[in-house]
Amino acid sequence: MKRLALFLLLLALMVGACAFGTPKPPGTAPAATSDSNSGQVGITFGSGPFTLSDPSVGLADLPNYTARLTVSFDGTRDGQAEKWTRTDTLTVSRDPAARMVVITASGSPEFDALNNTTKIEVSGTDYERRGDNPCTASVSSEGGDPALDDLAVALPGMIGADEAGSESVNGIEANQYTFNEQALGVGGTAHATGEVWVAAEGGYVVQYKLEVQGGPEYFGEGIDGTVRWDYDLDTSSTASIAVPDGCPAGLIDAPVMDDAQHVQKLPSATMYETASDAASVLAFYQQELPALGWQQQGEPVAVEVMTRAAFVQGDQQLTLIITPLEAGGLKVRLLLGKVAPASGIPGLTPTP
Amino acid sequence: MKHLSGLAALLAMLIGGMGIGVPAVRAQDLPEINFILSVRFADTDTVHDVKCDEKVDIAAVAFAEIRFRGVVISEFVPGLSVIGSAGSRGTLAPSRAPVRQLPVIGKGRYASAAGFTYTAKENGKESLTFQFQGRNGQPLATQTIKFEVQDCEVNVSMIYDGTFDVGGGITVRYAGIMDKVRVEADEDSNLHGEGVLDYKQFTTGLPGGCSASWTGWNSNVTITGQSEEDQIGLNFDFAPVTMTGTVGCDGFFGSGSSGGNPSVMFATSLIFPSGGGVMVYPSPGQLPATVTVIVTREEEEEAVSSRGPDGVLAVLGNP
Repeated sequence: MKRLALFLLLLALMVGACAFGTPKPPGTAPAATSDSNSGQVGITFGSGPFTLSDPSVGLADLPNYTARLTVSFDGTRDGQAEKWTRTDTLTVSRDPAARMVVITASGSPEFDALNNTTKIEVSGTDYERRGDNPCTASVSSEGGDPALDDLAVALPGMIGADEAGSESVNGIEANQYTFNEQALGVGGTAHATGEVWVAAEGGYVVQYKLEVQGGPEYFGEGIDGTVRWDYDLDTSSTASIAVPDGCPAGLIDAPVMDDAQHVQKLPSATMYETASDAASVLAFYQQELPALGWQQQGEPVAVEVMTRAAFVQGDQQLTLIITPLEAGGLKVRLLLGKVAPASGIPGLTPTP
Repeated sequence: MKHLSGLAALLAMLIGGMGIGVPAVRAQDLPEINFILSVRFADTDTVHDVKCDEKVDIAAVAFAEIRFRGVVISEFVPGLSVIGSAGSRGTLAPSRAPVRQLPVIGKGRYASAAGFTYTAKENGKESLTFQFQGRNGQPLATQTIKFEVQDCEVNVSMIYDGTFDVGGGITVRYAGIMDKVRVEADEDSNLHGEGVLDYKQFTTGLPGGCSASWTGWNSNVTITGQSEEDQIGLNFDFAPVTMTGTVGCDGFFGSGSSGGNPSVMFATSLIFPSGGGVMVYPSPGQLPATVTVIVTREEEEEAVSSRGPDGVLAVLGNP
């Protein structure tokens, strides 16, 4: 639901918001009256037959696709040169449902921080890795991460593009249209040149190129330059979406005690409090986990200050840690990770 | 799209654009246009409380309701924009956004709207004001939405867990837990919190007649960092510790102490998404272990501690 946000936001932040001037193209009606929410509006659209109000139309019907969108700016801000670019490559899989976006960006501290970022949404978990930082995982929010939106929603829509024939683009029969600032509704404010190729079957955008040259009236005070959109869609992509190594595991499929309170179910970790004693909790998992395919590894540690047990299944390890709470009761933690290889540490071998 | 094409054609006929020519219309035949502005959170119909540093997408749904000869056509009109301003509790970006076809209120549903993102920085009541503007900057409609900003703090937990196979069936198991630490942000989004990492170590599989015990240790942990618009940067600073071990067989025992700073066992700087998350990484220390760091924003129960009694830990027998 939170679609579009990051990309548009960054774009808006970088180039400033559009401030439309007072275009007076011939043949338009009087402008809307001021200080009123009612009146007449003067608009001149493009003169062609094609309208694209929703550039992401048709994508929901595609089984899999990879889309790439590059937005770049080259110009000046307050007289100082400014140049930035950001490329998002989005891979979408329907079965299993998963989305992955890889972002490369440069030209500003914000973009440098975002450069080489990978985000994945799969099985109710969001994964994110920025550069060399360790991967993080979190439960997917209801609306999803806006960075994983269809990239096409960031493309400007248009009214009145002109037909320019048809051709095969990325193996897809597509109709080509050309448009300018009039079709974007910014006539008199900026100069624009655009082309869009729309799939003959499905109506989705296969390719989109747009260059808008403008000044403060378009970009905002103090900003002059050119912004470019370059979008490309590939439906033949078979790229798989895999969670990178080192990312936390997904949500843990294991029960909690009947009297569990303050339950937190997070990727790789389930935590809760219980009024039961540690022996009961341990016995509960020793009974429940084998039924789910987990085998206890070694003997559990069970002392006053901590109970710890490990269960393995394939290359995965589920660690149970139980500690007392100061206010009474216990805190139970289930941690899911990879089985760690046993290794020796010099200098730590106990001497019998 | 046909709808819009129809509108475009209608507008073209009505207002004489597109070079088609101006049909002879009387003044009363000119369309009346009402400009509608309805501001909402992009993912829901309702305005609700906002968690601190949670980025909230806001859709300023704005369109022209065009009436012509009794027929009402509601459509988006490109070229118009909405300006927005926030109160003192957070930031709203951009300050002006063009009206476009944006996804609002559920995936795949689109409306003519201007998109904004609000990021809260301080607990309290917040008020956002939006103004739908014409191409000349003339105000067409305004709306204000109000909500409460909550939970500018983050909760940080850390679990260090590992097993060391000594050989000969002897295994050392160890775990360090820093239970939930409340890390609060000041007005500049600088984070600060204090916690304790409670480390315990156990030995299993010792031959009969042998025992080993470790005191474990507690290290005060200072967490600092910065809460930014799209990320949380955390720095961990650990106080030095000392641990004593006693090992022996058949009545002969030896003991020793070692000290140091636990920081060698952990990554001292981590970056999380603004909404928090879970990070798992191998400990950079000598002992093989995994470190799990959990950052959450949700309002949770009272702070608790897992600190148990200090002292010599139990010695376990053969498995």
